[in-house]
Amino acid sequence: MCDGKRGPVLEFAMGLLVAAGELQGAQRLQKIDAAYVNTTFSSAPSHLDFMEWLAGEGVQVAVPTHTNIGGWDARNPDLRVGPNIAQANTEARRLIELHRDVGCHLSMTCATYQLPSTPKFGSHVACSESNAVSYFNSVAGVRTAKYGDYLDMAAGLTGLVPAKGRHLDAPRAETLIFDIPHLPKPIRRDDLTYQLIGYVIGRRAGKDVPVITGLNPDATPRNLRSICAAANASGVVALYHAVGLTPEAPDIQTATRGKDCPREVITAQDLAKAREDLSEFAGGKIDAIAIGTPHASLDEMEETVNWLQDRCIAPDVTFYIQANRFVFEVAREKGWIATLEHAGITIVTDTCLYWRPATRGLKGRILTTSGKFAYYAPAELDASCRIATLRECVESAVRGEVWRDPDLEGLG
Amino acid sequence: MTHLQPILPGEIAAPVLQLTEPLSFWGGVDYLTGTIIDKAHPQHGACIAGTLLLVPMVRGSGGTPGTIASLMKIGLGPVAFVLGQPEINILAGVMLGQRLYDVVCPVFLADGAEFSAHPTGQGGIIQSDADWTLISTAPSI
Repeated sequence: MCDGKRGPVLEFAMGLLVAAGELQGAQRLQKIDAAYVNTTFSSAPSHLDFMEWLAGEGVQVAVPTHTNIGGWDARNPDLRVGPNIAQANTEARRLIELHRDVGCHLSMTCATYQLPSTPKFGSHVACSESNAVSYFNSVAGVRTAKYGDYLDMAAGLTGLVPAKGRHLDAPRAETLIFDIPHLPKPIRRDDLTYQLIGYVIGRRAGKDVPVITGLNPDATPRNLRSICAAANASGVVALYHAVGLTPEAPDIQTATRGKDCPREVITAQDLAKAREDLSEFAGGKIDAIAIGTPHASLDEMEETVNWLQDRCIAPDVTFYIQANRFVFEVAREKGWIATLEHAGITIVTDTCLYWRPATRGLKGRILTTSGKFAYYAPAELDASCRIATLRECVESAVRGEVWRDPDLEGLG
Repeated sequence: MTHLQPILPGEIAAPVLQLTEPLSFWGGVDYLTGTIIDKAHPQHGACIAGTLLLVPMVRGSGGTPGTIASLMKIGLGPVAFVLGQPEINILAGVMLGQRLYDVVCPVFLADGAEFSAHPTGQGGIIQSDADWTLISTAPSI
């Protein structure tokens, strides 16, 4: 492929993978089972040029290749507002079509691990989306380094990546134990706690692999995802272990490879401080709710329905849940989408709420369950955020002002 | 003087801009102007266009290559990169920019700890036999 006999695109793709491998000191290339590309994700003009080139040359991906979110939600065509919105929408749609033309699955999600096609334990993939990289490595036991634009598509076109980092068994960073001591039961069980743990670990881990002990043994995939997403907003945690919960950490000796390593404690006060860091206001009127960064899981949909108890949200509050098409369809079949929409909630698919051009109504004082949203949105939107539990979001939306769960006093 | 490992070699003379903290080029740099827009970054407000850019570390999003290639398209990219770590996403952006827009942009790897010896000012990359060296022509204070 390097010699150009299979066309200029594959020559470029192989050249890029080989150069990246040489830069990292890789000895060889590694076959992958799937690629997860970010090239739908940005309005950077080079993305359109790149994809027009690929489609024009008539190339097709060599392994199943899934797209991240894009800038267009066909179900909500008026979602974005702002100057030049017609052109921005046209370009976003064109970019998505070009991915289809080269054979990509238009998964349009940052939570690819929710799709039924998720690769099996021990397989290798190329993934760029930071929360998915962390979930694949940590929770699914699927190996990927952190890639980015063009390298991810080069991997999809060739089925190859440099054999380096997480793709190899041997060289792994030192481990650092984070011990979570006993927390009151309501706090221990709420997903917000996992968001805050992720935020703290992202801030503290540096280049070490965090090994978390003391989590609730009933922690769900959603909770483990929340650690991935928040840790990769406040820092870079492409791999962590949760002892007794994640597949490469049945016990602490296995997770640390039997080595002595430093141990830190995450206290309830640390979590309360994290909540303070991710909250720009504590009470009062709210303008909007944003759920689903990364895209909401099925149990988040169900829990929202349950907390609503047939009530509607306040008329001056905008409430968004963003999800991928797979979760959306399952939720629709269960009747949850109809219930949520009847309550006044807008379900967004295929895109991301904090991405410019701005989302209609998503400004002012926003409550979110997501540490990632609370971390990025204030810079991207005309907004201030507060991180809250899903129950607090729903109750606050119904009331039109911040409602704080008395059972979670310890979290500030 | 800092010894450089050539990745995409080429001699250059240009103003040196040293990033003193890790930067995400997606969200942290405006891809239409080259201005650093990350409010928390020490070089916030500086413009990377036309610079010999010293990058100790890239952080965050995999969207860094799109920003770099898009700046190269409109002639507002750095004219060379010196990396403190093997940042494959800088390389990917530069290689696509070269392929699509025919813009040359040398890339080198160096010991990040030596960056601090190169204050922002005039500088260059020179070759002597097989050795590549980063030099600063600005007077040291």
